[in-house]
Amino acid sequence: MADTALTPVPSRTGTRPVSEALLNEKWDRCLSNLIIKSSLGLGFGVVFSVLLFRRRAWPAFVGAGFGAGRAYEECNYSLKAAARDIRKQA
Amino acid sequence: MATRGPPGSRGLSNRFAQFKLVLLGWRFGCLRFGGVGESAVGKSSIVLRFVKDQFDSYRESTIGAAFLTQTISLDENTTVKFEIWDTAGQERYKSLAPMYYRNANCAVVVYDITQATSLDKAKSWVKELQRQANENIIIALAGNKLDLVTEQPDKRAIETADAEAYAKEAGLLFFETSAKTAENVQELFTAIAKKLPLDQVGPRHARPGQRPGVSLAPEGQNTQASGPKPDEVKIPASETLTAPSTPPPAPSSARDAASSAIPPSQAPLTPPTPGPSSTTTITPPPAPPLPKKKKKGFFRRLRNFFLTLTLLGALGFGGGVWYSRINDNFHDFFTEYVPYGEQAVLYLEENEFKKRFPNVASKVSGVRRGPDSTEQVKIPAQSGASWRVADGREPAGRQSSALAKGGSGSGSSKKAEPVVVAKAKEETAKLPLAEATTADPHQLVPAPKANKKEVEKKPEVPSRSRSNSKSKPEPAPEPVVSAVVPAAGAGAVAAAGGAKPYKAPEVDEPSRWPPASPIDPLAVPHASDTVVQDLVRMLNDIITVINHDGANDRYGATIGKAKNEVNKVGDKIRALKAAAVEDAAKQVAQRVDTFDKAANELVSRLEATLVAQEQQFQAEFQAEMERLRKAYDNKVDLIQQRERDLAEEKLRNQLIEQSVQLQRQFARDIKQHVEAERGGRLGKLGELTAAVANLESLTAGWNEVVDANLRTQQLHVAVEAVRASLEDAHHPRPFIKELVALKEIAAQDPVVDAAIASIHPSAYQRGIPTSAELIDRFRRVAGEVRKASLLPDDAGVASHASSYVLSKVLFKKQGLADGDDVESILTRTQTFLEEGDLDNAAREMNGLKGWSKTLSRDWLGEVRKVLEVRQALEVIQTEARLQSLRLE
Repeated sequence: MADTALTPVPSRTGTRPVSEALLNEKWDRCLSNLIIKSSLGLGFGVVFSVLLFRRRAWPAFVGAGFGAGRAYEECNYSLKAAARDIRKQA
Repeated sequence: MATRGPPGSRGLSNRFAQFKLVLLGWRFGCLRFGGVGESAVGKSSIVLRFVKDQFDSYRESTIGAAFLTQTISLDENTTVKFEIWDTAGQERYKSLAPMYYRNANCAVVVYDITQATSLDKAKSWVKELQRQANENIIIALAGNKLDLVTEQPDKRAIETADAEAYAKEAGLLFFETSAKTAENVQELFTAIAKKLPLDQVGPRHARPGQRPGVSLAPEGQNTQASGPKPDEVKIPASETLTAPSTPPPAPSSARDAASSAIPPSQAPLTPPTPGPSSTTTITPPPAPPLPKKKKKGFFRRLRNFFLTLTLLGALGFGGGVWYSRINDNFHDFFTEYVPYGEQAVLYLEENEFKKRFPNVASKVSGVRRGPDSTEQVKIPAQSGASWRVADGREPAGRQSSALAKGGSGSGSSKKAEPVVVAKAKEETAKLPLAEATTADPHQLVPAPKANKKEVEKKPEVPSRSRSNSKSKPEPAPEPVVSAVVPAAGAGAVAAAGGAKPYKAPEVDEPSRWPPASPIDPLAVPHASDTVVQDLVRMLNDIITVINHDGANDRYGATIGKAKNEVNKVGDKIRALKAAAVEDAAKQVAQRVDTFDKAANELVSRLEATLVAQEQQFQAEFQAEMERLRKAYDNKVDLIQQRERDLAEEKLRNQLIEQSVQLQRQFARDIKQHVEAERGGRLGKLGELTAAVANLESLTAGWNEVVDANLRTQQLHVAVEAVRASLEDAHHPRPFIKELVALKEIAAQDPVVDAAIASIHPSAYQRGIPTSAELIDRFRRVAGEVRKASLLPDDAGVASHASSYVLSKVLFKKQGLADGDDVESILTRTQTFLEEGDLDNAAREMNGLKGWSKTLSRDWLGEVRKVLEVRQALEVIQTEARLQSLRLE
């Protein structure tokens, strides 16, 4: 049954995600965003620590924190926007 | 050091030495990373400490080399200035080092006492210096970073004793310094300064490179002036750094040449340039020039220079002149740009020309002298052809003036001539006309013989007159004319009729001619004959010419004779004409008589012929009348016969028309009879066909009933087929074929059509999921919905996360749990689904709100599609049943 059920799904994902996957998709985006942003922040932090702060560790953490915070904020925004859309539809 | 200095008064004053110092060392680990620290030996730090008394622990590494100066005073009299070249220690700058240590007087090789390898490097530097640098270089070995060792003795990597032993062995100064604490730095440089050979120190601004020849002289004069020291010679003059202050080497060599024992070697070198030039002025013996040169070298050299210059100039000039005679381009250039070049070349060319052609040259020169002298070439006035041959009154001047005068004179004479001639001609033309009017028209022409005679006579007349005139002397025409004038004057005036009276010319204006006594033109009366007119005109022309020429007196007599002759000729011609007229009159009278006779004869003959013709005409008329009458009679007969024929023809036609009409009427009667008969029979046939049609409709009705029955049956079957295909399928399958078949069978049934239209196209195109699939999917959807079940209205990341976590620990419900929360709704839906009640399940799920509803949206859509299809099929089935019921 599982393989037969799969057949309609790909055709739909081409255009629009299945409704039950909407939230999961948002989560995926948020996580990837988090990884990217925090690693970017970490990179910047490392560079700054090397260039300016005599290889202290904290600039790297601060950078990573900035990145993660930024990602969290973006995720929060997207989720709230989705919630607003849902309320508008209702 | 003052003790070593010269004892002169100036020696007590500041003694100043300047040295070039190089710092060499090795830098380790060029890369600075993090807090690892730096491993430079500290050359720059030492220099900085020495020069500025500063220390910078984060000093950048030197690039290339840095240059600093520092002056230290050893005692109150002696100051030493160090020009410090602080070289870069990095490997890549190593090749630059020789540039810096080449002229150095002293070098400081720095090593790091905390780095074991740095001493080895320092040793290699020392070796290199000893091998390649200035051989008198003073090398100091400095072990830097003593401060580190004093703080932590275990950091030391190189023992002081080892380094010191090496320094002694290699003859180096040795110090262990610390740039940071300034330990031993000053001492290092002071020791170097002390060890430097200060007696070889040059004065201020003298470069240390000039050290060999330099000493601090009390006079302070130029070094060349001071006496040379014996040890100077030993020191190699290999220094290449020559400052602008250094004197040129030429004079020294000259001096050397003078003082040294090898003058002959230089003797041949110097003479050649002045040699050739001096030969022109003086020819001194080979020996004397040397002392002369010695005495006044400058003047000698100046003279030589000028001599050479002039010689070269002369040579160049000569060469230029020579070459300009070969090359044209160069000739142009040389003559144009080189002063006196043109003159020289010209002179040379002239000389050559004279040499080559001595005779021509003299002639040419003679001619050339010509234009300078005042002699002029004159063409005599009488020479050449001229229109005024004997006119000697005009003195021969320039040709142009003569021409101009001649032109004007000829113009005037030409003007004067035509006027007179034209006048005369007019007169002669008028005369014959006037005579012609008066001439007798009856006169007749013929008189050729006399005319011919006249013509023959005429030429003789002028010839004779000319021979007469020739006898008279020519050079005096004027007096004669003037003498004639009074005599011929009256006649001339009368003949001219209105001509201006002649004014006698004065003595001093000779060019005017008197109008002369003209010979009056001939006027022959009755000269109607053309021959006579021509003669008269000819004679008149001659007379006008004579008049104009002023030869009237000469030709007067002859012309008079000629006039008489002409008059006579005219008379004779008149007489001849009269005779001819009389003859003609006689002939005319005779001819008139003969004509009258002939006319009478003709008249009588004509009358006879007229009578004969009249009789003939009458007879012909009678015959013609008869013929015409007969022809008319014939025509009348013909016309009568034709009219009779026409009438007969008309009658016959009328008969034929009557017979045709009778036939037509008969045919029409027969047709009417036949039609009436046929109408009765056809009516019966119509009734028959109507009956048959009724029968047919009855049978068709039954057929329709049967067809409808069949159709409803087919509809049933088709609906069943659709339902079967839907329920039979294990996975969604398009059932569009079945639906199309159903629609065809339904055949425009509005209810069936509407039912099919209500089905969503995607349903029959893709098929609808089975109930098992729906349940399966519901499980997944329920999981997602459950995760989002605890979300507030405006959920952020934190709410989502907490909802996700808390949903795991929710209590499960069973059966048809009552409640409005998400969990109980989900449970109820599941129960309905398991029971197969799709409708209720969908209704339950529809009651969700917010994220839960959004997540279950697609599942709901699927369920709805399935419900729609089922409903449509039910409707069609009921419709089919209804139809079958209706039929029965």
